[in-house]
Amino acid sequence: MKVIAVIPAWNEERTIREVVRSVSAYALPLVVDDGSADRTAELALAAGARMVRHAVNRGLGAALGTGLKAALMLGAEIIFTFDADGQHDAADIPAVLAPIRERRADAVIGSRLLAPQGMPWIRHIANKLGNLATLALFGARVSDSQSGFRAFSRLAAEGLTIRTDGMEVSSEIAAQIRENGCRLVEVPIRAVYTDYSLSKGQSFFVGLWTLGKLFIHRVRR
Amino acid sequence: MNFLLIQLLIVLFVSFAAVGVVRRFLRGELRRAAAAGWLALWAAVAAAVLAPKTTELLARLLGVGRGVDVVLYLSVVGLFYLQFRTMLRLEKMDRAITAAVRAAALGDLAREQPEIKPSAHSRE
Repeated sequence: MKVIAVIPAWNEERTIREVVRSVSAYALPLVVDDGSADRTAELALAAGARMVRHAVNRGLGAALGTGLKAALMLGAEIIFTFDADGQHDAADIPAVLAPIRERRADAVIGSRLLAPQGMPWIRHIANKLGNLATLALFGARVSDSQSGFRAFSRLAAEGLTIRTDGMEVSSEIAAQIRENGCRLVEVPIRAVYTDYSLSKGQSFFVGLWTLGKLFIHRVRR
Repeated sequence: MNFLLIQLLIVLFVSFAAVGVVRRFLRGELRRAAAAGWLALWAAVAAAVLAPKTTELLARLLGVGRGVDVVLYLSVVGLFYLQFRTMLRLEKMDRAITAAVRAAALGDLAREQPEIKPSAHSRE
C-alpha cells in the first residue's frame, strides 16, 4: 500500500530534518513548503522528502489542501497529515494507520486529548474550546478537533474539499469527515511539547481570530 | 446664511468624493447602481452638514432623540456593514490567490514527475 505523509511546513528549519527522517520509516514524506524564508525546503529535500512548494505563504489550510491533492496525484492509497514542528511522535504512526489498513475506518484523528499527559493546561482549555466551536458550528463531535495528525483512505481524501487557508482548517476537516459520512476512529497519540512546538501553536488571540474565520466560513457555506 | 469652517471643509471633501464617483462611473469602473448609491450617500452627508435640521426630521421619524444621534447610529451600522463586506471580499481574494499558488505548485510537481497527469486533482 502506498502511504504518503503530508507535512505542511513554514519556516521549520529547526525540526524539519528530524521529522522527515522519523516519518520516512513508515511512509513517503511529502513536505509542502508554504513559502518558507529559511532553509526548510533545502533541509527537507536533503533528508529525502518529496516536495511541493508554495511561492508565497498561504497558511496551514492552504498547505494541507495542496498536500492532499499532491498525495492523490502521486497515487497514495493512504494519506496522513503530520505536523512539521516536532509535536508528533512517529512511533504513533502504525496505530493511527491501523484502522484504515484494517478497513475499520475511512478517517482517523490522532487525539492528544485521549491521553493528555503533559499537555499545558492553557493548551488543554484552548483545545476544548476548539472542540466546542467545531461542535456548535458544524455538529462534529470529536475529542481533538485541532489535531494535526490525521489519516485518510484514498476515497476519504478524495472527498475532502479544503476551502479555508488558515488554522481553521482543522475544524473544517472534522466537519467534512462527518458530512461525507466517513467512518471515523480516534486514536490516542502522544504530543511532544517543547518551547519550540508551543511557540508554533495558536496563541490566544490567533485562536480568537480562527474562531471568527470559522464563523464566517460557516455563514458562507 | 453663515456656515462654520468645519461645514465648508466637509462639503469640500464630499464634493471631491462625489466627483471621484462620477469619474469612476464614466471610466466604467463602477456600475450604475453602485454609482447612484454612493452619490445618494454623499448627497445625504452634504444635506446633513449644510442643513442639520433635516437629521432632526429623520430622528423624529425613527424615534431617536436628536439628529446627531441618528447620524451616529447610522454611521456605526454603515461602518460595520462595510467592514463585513471588506472581510468577505478579502476572503474571496485570499481563495483566488491560494488557488493560483496551488495550481502552480501542483503544476511543478507534475512536470517533475512525467508519469503524473495533472488531473482533476490539480484544479480547484
